Amino acid sequence: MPVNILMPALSPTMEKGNLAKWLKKEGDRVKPGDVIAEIETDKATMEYEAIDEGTLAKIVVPEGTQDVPVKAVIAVAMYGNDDEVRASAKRILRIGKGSGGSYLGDEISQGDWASRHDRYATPQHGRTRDGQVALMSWHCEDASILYSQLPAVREKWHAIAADLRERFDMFDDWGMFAYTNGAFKSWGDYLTEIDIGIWEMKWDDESWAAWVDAKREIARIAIEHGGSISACHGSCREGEVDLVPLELGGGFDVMKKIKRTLDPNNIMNPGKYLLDQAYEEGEE
Amino acid sequence: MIGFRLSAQKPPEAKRIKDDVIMRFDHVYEVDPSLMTVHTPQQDIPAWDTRRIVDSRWEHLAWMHDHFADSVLSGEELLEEIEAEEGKG
Repeated sequence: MPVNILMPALSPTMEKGNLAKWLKKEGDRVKPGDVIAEIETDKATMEYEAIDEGTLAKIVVPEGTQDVPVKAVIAVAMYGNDDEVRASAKRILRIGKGSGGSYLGDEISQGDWASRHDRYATPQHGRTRDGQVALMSWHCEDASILYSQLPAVREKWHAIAADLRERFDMFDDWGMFAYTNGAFKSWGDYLTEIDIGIWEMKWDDESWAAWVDAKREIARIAIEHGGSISACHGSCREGEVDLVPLELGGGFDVMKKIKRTLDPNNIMNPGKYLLDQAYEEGEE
Repeated sequence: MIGFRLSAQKPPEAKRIKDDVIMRFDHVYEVDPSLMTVHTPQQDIPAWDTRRIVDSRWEHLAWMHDHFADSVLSGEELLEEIEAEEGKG
């Protein structure tokens, strides 16, 4: 966890201090009580100690700097240690073990995070309806949704995926996940996505049209449940983009005006976000 | 010594992990070969080649860990600790 190290106040009246010397350099490990810097005022010199175990990640104010205001960020430390991580990891492993799970091994667990971006480009094991493996690519449809609406949205999104899979044996529902987007946002405090595997070798006009319809329906359900389709990755592709004016309401007219003002000849990202509409007859 | 060694060629017998997963090498999980017969037919891979692929993966992971982490905890070690603690209790 990054923690800002601030210029301390050595007395209630102190407003500025000098950074006399750094006793640790960037990348050094520190533990509580280690002196990391010397701060001086016209009255005294003080040793500045680390408060936790971690790494001095970045020195912001170089040594020798005079008159650094109190509370200014002088460095950033990464605090946190094995003892904290070990305790929480063991707790999670105990829960898994107690629930009858088995650990898949370090190869899988360490490989999972290291390869998480491979998934954008690598064909993955999808399954056709009879369980045979087919190489599918990964597609994610996402929205911001209020926590209380997640269960209903989840059921409806899975139903859309099931319908696609029923009609075309080239789609696979790879599940949904959600993570917090910061609490108390009225347009959705969770980001959620449904991951759909598509066996792209099988595309034809009919399946493409069904996929575009499905994306539009996924977006419509998010909006009907008070969520936002533009708050996560944006929605600028065929299908869900049709609903951007619905979500934004009068805000879409403002977007069109701004687009015309900044880009009178429509040369920047033409076609994105339906903003070609800003140049249609009747728009001013 | 250069020469033919059956153990370098022939993968170990498969253990069934669940309905659609098998394991021949420790921690190398494979989709049940019967599910990869129609759209994605498999080829025989000699044991030494699977080991080479796994070793390359570990090299890649080691590089990632050196690059991004001060240290990496091993879940297997933690589980051993948990089991030792449970044994004591």
